[in-house]
Amino acid sequence: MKTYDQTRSRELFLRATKVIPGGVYGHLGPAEGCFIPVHSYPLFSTRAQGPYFWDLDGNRFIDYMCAYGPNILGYNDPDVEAAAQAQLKDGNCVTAPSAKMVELAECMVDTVAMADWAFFCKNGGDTTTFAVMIARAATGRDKLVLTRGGYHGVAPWTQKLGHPGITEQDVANNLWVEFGDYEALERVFAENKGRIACFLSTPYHHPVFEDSRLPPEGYWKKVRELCTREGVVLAIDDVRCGFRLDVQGSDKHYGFTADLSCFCKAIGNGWSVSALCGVDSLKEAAGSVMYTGSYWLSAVPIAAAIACVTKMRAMDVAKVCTEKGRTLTTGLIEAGKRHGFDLVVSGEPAMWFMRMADDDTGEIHQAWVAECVSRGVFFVNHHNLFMNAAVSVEDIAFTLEVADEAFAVVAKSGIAASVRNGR
Amino acid sequence: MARVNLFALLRCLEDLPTYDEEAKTIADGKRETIQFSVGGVGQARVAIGGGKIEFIPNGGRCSILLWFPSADKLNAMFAGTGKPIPLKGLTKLGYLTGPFTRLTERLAYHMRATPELLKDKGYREGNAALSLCAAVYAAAEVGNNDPLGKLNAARMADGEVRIAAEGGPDFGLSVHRGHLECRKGASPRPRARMVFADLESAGEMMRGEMDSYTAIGAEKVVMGGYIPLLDNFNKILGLVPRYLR
Repeated sequence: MKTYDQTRSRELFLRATKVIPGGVYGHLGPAEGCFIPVHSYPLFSTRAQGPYFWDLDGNRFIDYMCAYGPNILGYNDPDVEAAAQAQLKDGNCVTAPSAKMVELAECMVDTVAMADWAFFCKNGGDTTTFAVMIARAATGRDKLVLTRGGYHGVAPWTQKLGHPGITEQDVANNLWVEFGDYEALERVFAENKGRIACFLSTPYHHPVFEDSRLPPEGYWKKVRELCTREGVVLAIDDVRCGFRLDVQGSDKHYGFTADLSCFCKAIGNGWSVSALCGVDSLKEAAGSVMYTGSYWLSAVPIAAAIACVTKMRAMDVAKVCTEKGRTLTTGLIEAGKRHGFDLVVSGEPAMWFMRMADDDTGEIHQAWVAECVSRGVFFVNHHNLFMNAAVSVEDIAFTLEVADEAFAVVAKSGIAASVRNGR
Repeated sequence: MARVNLFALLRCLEDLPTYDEEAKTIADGKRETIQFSVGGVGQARVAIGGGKIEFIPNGGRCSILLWFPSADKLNAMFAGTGKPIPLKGLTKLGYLTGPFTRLTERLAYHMRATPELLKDKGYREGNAALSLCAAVYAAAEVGNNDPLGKLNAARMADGEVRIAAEGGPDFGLSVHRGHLECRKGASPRPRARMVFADLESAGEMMRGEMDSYTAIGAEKVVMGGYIPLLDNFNKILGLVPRYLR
């Protein structure tokens, strides 16, 4: 199988570094994106359609990062794009918001099991910050409990002391527990009785660089009861999981009801909109917080989200992605076995995490992922992957063919022996 | 800052003869061992002679003993605004004011780059190698002692990080329960690696001519292995300029 060349991507990246800090910054860039080695990865795209994107050098990739989650129906989904284009003709960012905003709120309340109301922003981090502010407004308390390794955006309060730009005050109210450790949570609640405004967590633990962890049996039921008993707002960061586990919300998937649920990514199939959904008892507090942005009520992304959520409901997108994810990951594990590799898959099938067993450096996995990428299957080595509904049976078959060849190349390279025995 | 001066900057004298003819001549001279004893900080020795300069990160046999009552006094000497108190080797004050002072001046010359000096390829190489050495050892000190550095070090998993420049120096930074220890030489089994494409690239990054994100994207530095180790190490490295001025 021919491997890809990334010459034009490299050239544009060097141009970019002259005028953009880091060239491509953040999670899409080569540093945060852990492109190892960088020359195996595409740095810029020219177009995207369905499950694919094409890079600047004309190479096609089956994209299992889905823009880190937003692509759930397939890039340029005809129904979502038609809704966006129709709205664009009528208007987008206008002094008075469009009626579409109310339609989307009604759609979210009808779709998301816990939702009595919805509030729209742009990014996932907008909703997590808003959730924290609402919890503080509602309870009059200052502390937050978060899970170690959980990601809730890039606002200063979500980061760690010692990271550039973060002050002690930014994180002074954060308390940390391990995900799934109910006793630790109970202990933190007891030690800070009457001071905790909010417990914010992802529905299951999907950190970077380590296995995903599903909630232990009965965990969320006990957490729900504890939060209710202690007057703590239970906020779920469903930004990454939202709609991929259950179109009615990931709290529904795990059998509990959150007070606040943060959505972004899949909600608009790539159009920039996020939503915070809440229960009735927090509606007044939500209204009391001054929170807005220049483009938050723009009608085009909202129209796209209506079409996307409606379509996701109709096709039960979570079931579709889960089944495709299960088929793919089963095949990947088998491909690894054929070449003597133990590929460990964790998390939910629609957004699985993978790594190679018996390698605490990650170098073997990094090498295999790079070989897959340079043959047209876009994986990353540090983050959970994402399935989308446009991935076909043929795409999965091609992916498994690439994975098999990539395993063969890595096996032949001897990297496993050198990593395990030292170099 | 005193620990950075004592255990990182002073250590760079070891490599100076490789890049500086005058330092090489001094190193070829009579052997003298100078001990730096700093109240509340620690002790280190620099043994000069027999064709090399050796840094010894503890106290012991010495021909000259310099006493600094406090960290401030040591820092003042490094800033050129203070003098040490010699407790031993009073007859060798001439060595201190002569060859040793000359060595420190040559080190300062190689580490304080100017656009004019950087036009010379040999100077750039020396500057890069010495700066990399200072930065890596300083990072270990910052990770073990600076309040923010300690937070980042505590987030590092156990293992060894290889920091190197192709065709240049090679360092191993071992992490054990949040404590950092640096040594020279290639790691036999690094858990993570950060390898500059060449000394030129290392120098560009050390001098701030190229940011780390650009360097990674342009493959001027290649990362691999357990990236959270590097991620936290880089955050410590980011604190180093506060100490190395």
